[in-house]
Amino acid sequence: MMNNTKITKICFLFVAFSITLFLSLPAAGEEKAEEKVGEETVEETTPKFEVSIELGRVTYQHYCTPCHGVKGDGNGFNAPHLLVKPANHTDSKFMSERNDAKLFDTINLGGVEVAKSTLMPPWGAAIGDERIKSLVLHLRELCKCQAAKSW
Amino acid sequence: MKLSFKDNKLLLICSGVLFFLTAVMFLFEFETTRPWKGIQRDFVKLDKKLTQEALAEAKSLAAGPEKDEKIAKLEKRTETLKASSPTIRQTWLTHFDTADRCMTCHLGVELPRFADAEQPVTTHPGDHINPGRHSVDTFGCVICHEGQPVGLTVKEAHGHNHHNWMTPLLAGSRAESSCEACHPMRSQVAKDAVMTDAPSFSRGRSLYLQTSCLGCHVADGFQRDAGIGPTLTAVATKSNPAWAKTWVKKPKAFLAKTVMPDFELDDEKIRAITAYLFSLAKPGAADRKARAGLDDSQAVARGEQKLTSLGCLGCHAVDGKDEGFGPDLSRTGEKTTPEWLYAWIADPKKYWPETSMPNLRVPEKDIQDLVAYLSTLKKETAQAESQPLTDPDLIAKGKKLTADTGCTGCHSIGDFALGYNAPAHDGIGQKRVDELVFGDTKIEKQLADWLVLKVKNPRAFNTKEMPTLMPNFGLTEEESEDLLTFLLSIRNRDNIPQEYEKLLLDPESSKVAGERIIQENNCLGCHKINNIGGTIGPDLNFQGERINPQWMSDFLMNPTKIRPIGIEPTRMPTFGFSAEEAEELTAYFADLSKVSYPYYQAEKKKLSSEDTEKAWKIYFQTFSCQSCHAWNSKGGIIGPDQSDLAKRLRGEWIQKYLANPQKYIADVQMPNFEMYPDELEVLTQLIMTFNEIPEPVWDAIKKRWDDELLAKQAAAMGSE
Repeated sequence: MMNNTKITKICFLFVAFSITLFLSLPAAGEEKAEEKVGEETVEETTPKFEVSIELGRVTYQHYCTPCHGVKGDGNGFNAPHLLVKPANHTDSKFMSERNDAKLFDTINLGGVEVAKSTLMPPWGAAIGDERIKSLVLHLRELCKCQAAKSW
Repeated sequence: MKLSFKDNKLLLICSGVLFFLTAVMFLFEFETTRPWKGIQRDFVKLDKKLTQEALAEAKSLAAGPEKDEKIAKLEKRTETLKASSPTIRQTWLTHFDTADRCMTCHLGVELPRFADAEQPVTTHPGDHINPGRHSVDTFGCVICHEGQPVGLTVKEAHGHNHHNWMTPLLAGSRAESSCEACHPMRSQVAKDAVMTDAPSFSRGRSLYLQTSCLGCHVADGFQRDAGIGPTLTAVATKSNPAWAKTWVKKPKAFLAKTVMPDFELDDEKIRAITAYLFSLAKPGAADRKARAGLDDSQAVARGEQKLTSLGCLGCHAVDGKDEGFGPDLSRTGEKTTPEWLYAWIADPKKYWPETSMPNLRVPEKDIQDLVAYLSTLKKETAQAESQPLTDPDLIAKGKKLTADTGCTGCHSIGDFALGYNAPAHDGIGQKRVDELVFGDTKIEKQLADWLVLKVKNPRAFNTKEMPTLMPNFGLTEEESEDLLTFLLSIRNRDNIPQEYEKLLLDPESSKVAGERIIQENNCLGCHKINNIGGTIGPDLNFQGERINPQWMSDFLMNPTKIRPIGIEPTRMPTFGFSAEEAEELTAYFADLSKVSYPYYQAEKKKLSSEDTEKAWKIYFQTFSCQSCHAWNSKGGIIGPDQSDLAKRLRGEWIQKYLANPQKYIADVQMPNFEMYPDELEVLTQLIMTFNEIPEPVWDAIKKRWDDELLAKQAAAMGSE
């Protein structure tokens, strides 16, 4: 009796799996077709990055220093032209109040998404997750701090 | 005993029959052993073998209509081969008024199955003779390969036994010298342009035009337009006699890739020439401004860094290999005075109006640093001149030698006019062998052999009675062969009807005109075009699509800084393009991007007040563009000032770029805001009106949004 239920269960799972697979097939096909039609070929041209603190440093120097400064103290060459002073990344008190997820979101989605100024633009679409994660590593290096607590 | 006719009748008949038989046998022998017959018999034998192999292979295929068809075809071929007998194969080339019998021996040229066979029956390489290109029926072999096409022995057909057969065979890459007859590459076509399928010819042409051949020779359609080498009238202000002597002695020892040849002069003559050249001007006085950074290790270090950051390395190398477009700088300190270097960097065309070196508009301080660094670049110090070079007799001797040696072919010197000091090259590809001097050499008496030795070792044919002064250019075997291919192309081809002319590179087209300017100014040293080139300047592939042609033209003639602060201090140098050149380049880039040229701005749509408000909100609040971009110098200084964007960019492009900046410039510091299409549209429309907004209006709008932003910020701070 026991054996019989087990077999039924397995059969049921198998059928359910097959149906899911069958349903997902045309959908996948459609998606592929759409990709081909779309003119964007960013995926092909954007080089692949691996998360590392070194990548964070390079990325920071290239994208962040104009406002946040070469030292990360918020005194970039563009800072005087901004209405709001850019964040000081060497301020360990300020930085420890933000956890890694929040730092990631701020870079990814921009200041406005974390109830800060719109002057910090969203970088996600331009630089991608790997470089943002690397930037977070570098930010922790700059502030010599960790998040004070987990939210 | 008296011999009567009767007695001798038998003898006569016998000898007559014998003579007849011998003659018949001889004729039979002569006919059957003709070389082309032997070749044809061997060819048939080989073809039979190949056909049998193919047949065996076909039979092993899986059954099907394809197999049957193949077998039938091969069997039919076997039958034809069995029935074949040796014949002279002659084509009458109607349009060229020539008979061509080459395929009597070269039987396999059109048959791919003979690709591995030995000459004379091997397949023609490449697809040059495929139908639709240069089919053998129309062009035969002779139109490209020359020779004596009615000949039936190797010697006769190849035209090698007759010294005066004007057009001997052009085998292998030498046949490329015939392409030009129908596909001319005029002098307006870029020096490094490549004719597809004529690589050796193209390399040879490039060598001919880029080495200093045109300094002394003039050729059909080609001539230099200015001095090839720098002016030497003021060389005393630039250099020192000790360096000049080592330079003339062996130019390639100092700069490996220089086009200055070796004149094989002895020390005494070099000394006299140096004395003359340095008597033409007084050495300049020491100048504090030029020497400000000398012996200052910090200035030297800054200079080294600026050599990279200013973009000098786009054209110059400093590794001693001399592989750049401009000369290698690794021994500059040995060659030039700080005063001259300073003046040269500040304005190169002042010293030498025809130089390719552009004006980089380098500030005084940076020039001083560069001079400091470059003056330290030395490999060895030349022995200073022990005796003064001021002896008037020596100077007079030097002046005569300067003219006799041919220095004035490439350099403008004192009151000498630039002159062609050697015979013209018109018709050099068909020079008769009896016009050539072979001297004591043992080479074959053929024009090609003579030319290839002449360019490789110009004085090889010299004898006491016939000394020539052509200098040595240090060409390699390959370079000599390429140059030969080009020289052979300079020949009269009046048997080719006009209607066969088909320009592959039309000098009138924007592509060819643009490529010439790009080559002459080494744009690829800094920029990528068609995915080839340097990365010092921006990628130019999509600039046609991006930039408004009128603005591009103006920029090319008079480049200005676009970004307010240099994230990169590199700048586009002033090349001094003429309006015509700027226009040709602009058309070239439009063509490259496949966009309309000339360009007419699409009529601006008037934004409704609602949309205007929406667009301002996007600009000042949602994406805060003003934090990186200025308008009339007010605002951020990371991106370019936007007050004249409408003049600089094509409207269609702004919208495309905003949608995905990284698609065009992978590492640009402009975020991708992932705007919605309606946002993109209204923002682009707004930006296109930026050049029409009066300053007070802008200020008022900006103040409104700034206030709002600050209020929001204060509220956010309060809630935090």
